[in-house]
Amino acid sequence: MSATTFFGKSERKALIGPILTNNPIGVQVLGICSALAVTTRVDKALVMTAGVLLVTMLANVAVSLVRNHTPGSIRIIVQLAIIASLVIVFDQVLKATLYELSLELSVFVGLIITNCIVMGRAEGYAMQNPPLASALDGIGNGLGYGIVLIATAFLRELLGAGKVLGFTILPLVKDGGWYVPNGLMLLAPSGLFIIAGLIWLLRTLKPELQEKD
Amino acid sequence: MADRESPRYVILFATAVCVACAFVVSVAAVLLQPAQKANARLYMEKNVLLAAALVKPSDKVGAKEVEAFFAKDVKARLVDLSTGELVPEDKRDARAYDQRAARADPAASRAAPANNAGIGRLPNLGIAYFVMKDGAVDQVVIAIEGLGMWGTVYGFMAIDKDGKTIRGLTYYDQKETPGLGGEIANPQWQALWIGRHAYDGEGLPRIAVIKGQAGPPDKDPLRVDGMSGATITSNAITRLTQFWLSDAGYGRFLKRLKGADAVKSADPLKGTHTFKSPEGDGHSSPANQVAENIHESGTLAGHWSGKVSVPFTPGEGARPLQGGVA
Amino acid sequence: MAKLQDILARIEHAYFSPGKPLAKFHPLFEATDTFLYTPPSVTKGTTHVRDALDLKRMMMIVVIALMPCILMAMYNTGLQANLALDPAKIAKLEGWRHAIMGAAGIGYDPRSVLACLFHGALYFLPMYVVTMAVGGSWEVLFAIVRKHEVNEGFFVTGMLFPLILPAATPLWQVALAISFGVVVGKEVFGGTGMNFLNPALVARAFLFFAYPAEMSGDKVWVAMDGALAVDGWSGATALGTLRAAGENFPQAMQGLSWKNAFLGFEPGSMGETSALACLIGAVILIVTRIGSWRTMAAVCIGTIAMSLLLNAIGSKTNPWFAIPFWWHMVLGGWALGTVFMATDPVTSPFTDRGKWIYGFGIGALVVLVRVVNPAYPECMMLVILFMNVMAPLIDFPIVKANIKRRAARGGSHGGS
Repeated sequence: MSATTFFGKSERKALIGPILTNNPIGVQVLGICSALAVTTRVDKALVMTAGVLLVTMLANVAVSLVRNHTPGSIRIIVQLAIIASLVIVFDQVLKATLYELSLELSVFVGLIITNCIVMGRAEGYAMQNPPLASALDGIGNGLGYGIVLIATAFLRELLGAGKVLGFTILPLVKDGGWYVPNGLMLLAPSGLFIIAGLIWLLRTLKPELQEKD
Repeated sequence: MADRESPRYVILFATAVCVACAFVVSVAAVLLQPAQKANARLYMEKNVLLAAALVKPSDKVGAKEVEAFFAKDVKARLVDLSTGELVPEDKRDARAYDQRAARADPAASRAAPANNAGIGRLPNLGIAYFVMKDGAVDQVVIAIEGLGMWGTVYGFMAIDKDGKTIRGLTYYDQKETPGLGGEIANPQWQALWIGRHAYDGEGLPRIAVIKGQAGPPDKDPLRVDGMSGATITSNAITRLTQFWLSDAGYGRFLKRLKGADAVKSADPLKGTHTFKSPEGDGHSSPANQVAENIHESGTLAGHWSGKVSVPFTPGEGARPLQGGVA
Repeated sequence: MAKLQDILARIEHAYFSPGKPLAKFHPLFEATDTFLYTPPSVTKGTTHVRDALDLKRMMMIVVIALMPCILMAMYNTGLQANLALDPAKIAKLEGWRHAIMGAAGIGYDPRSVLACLFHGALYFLPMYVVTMAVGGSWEVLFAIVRKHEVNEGFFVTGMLFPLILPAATPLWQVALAISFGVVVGKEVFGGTGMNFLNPALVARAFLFFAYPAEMSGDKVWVAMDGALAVDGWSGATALGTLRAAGENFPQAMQGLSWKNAFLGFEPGSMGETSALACLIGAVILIVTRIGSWRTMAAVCIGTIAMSLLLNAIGSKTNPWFAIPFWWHMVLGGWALGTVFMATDPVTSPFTDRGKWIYGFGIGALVVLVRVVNPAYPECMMLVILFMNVMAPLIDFPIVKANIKRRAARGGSHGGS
């Protein structure tokens, strides 16, 4: 491995890979559940991205630090305890800083614990890799998750409410504009349609991702 | 590290991880709790200001702004819902009162009378925010809640000093269908309530959300435009609003406001008390004196009529309001 | 006729065969060719079924069975609009439809069958044209990209979709919805035959959830501006009226006429109001064996069973419990859904026993949701979609059980 260089090839792969070629949502289809619920507005998606990114990164670092001391028989429980603690702390910070968003997001922030991405990276990557690479892997996966989340939220907020981050882009009919908002975009199923569409697009553009029957 | 799988090591390691995690979580919780509590209160009080139209939805309202209002023009008090009387201020800090927690606490609540607003338990005390203008009470904001279509709807309603005219409305916690019933959170729809009457001529809470469009407030004061496609939420809002305006809710309290108001016009020459006209042309008492009166007066008649001479004494609350003297 | 065939063959050879300029658009040629003539392709290999009935003829019979509904859709759409219109305000009518009405000089008399048909056609036909043009374009696009033939299934979807739309639906919403229905309801799963949801219903559900304020309530069912309507007119459907009546339910119920609801002279989605028209369609489908009589019978049984059960349970607070089944069968989308939607061969179970369970589920659920859930009185489409999703689950154990039984019958002989 990269004993000589601080930021070697494997580190770059850990950071960049999950953003596109190995995107956790688009390719691995992980973390879908929360992606449906928190993508009605871009600000929600941003906060959720920050949560998953921080939790994945810190959990990866922590798991990686103790990886050589963790008994194999309880390693999953240990990972879970670390992740759960980090999620609780993030939720507490959210309540103390962005209270109004936390009212809408708290339920889903709590569910980061069960987000397959976090657990998957801790078990699948951090258990075998040093802390720095693990941190980068956590950031990369958080960003990969976040990109899909924010893209979905962008479309949903724009089409569902005519706004992006609260700023009006398409003036609504009821406010004297021309745009009739699409109410479906504010309901959870539209998150599925958009994410499924993105996965479809990604697989069409990169046919090597398609499984052979 | 051959002993990594030995039971002793496993237990030790697990304990160490638990202690470390518990430490991190506890520290975070303890350090952040004050900020969270302040945030929760700030959010509620911001919505009170919204209902009273002291701030606009587009305004950026932080702790500083809210504190400025509460230091000067807004005063939180607790109301005994069964009598409509104010709870003396020195007994409890109204701003720290958590009405939702009280409702769940058997010692601080009772079973609600039969109603169709989905309200099971009723807190003994309800919060009321007095909004002052030029030293006199201008409006009061009451807390309302009840079952909507998908869950409980929480809000505030501002009522004018006449105890009847609605001055504003907010719903700060609701789960109605976005775009349909969810429109109750839309300030444009909330603005339709302004100027309408909570009670009809006989003092019954009759304000209702109808299907279709209502007339202008001065011609059609008891009806509010329904939200298209959201009949169920509309009806639910009607039911919960009427419940909180009824005697089971803040009805008795609001009647006292009205009674106090009647004092001014019907009996302006009563004894030695000073009275203010509703228009406020007789500002005889200094502003801070009247504001101070809220602190001291156990009954509404005291400050409502601008009377400054009756300090609160326990047991006086039940006396008739007319003029505040027996 | 042979001449036309000859011309077609020459066109195919000159333009559409592999390597020629329009080879990509072969599906378009194929669609025209097989619409006119029997497909030239023949089965290869040893096993095949000989049947005069191909998918195309099957779809044509469904379209024929839909004709009574289509005629009623046009007539009733016009009738409801003409009934609503205040004769004193005819001059205030605007838009291209009324320009055509004026030019034709037919007028707005609700008693004239021709005037109603003509007025209604001006709403139904544009929606049909938009549906076919937009939905058809998607079909062709996917056929070209995927290099397969254009499927006839869309003829039926395109015919059904306007029938389940309220008359006042704007055309851009029709276009958006059918795009969604075709792409998300069908093509993402691989096209006709692979879809597990009925595309027309997917499109309708899309509109219902995307534009709820416009697609429900009482403003959408009749193609008439409320401002031009006679005093005291309400455009609510029968179910909507009952739901809005609240405590005045008994009076509202008395205000309805079963005969009108059966014949279809009331507001509603264009093609769904007439149970009679659907009944005629049902007879055609059953006689020609295109539509499954099992599914239809099972929906009826489910409806009757659930209604009787709710009648028996009763409720002091909810008068909907007392609605008898013969009312449920003429209200809302029940009849159209039972005859033309539930029987969709692709999205219903394939096994006969599965069809009984599936149909019963639809019948029972639609009554249950109408009665118990105040939010969705017009729930037929959602119930059918729900049971569409269940269909593979219903089939699965039945097929498994069949395989097991056959294996047991085969015993040690190692049955094939």
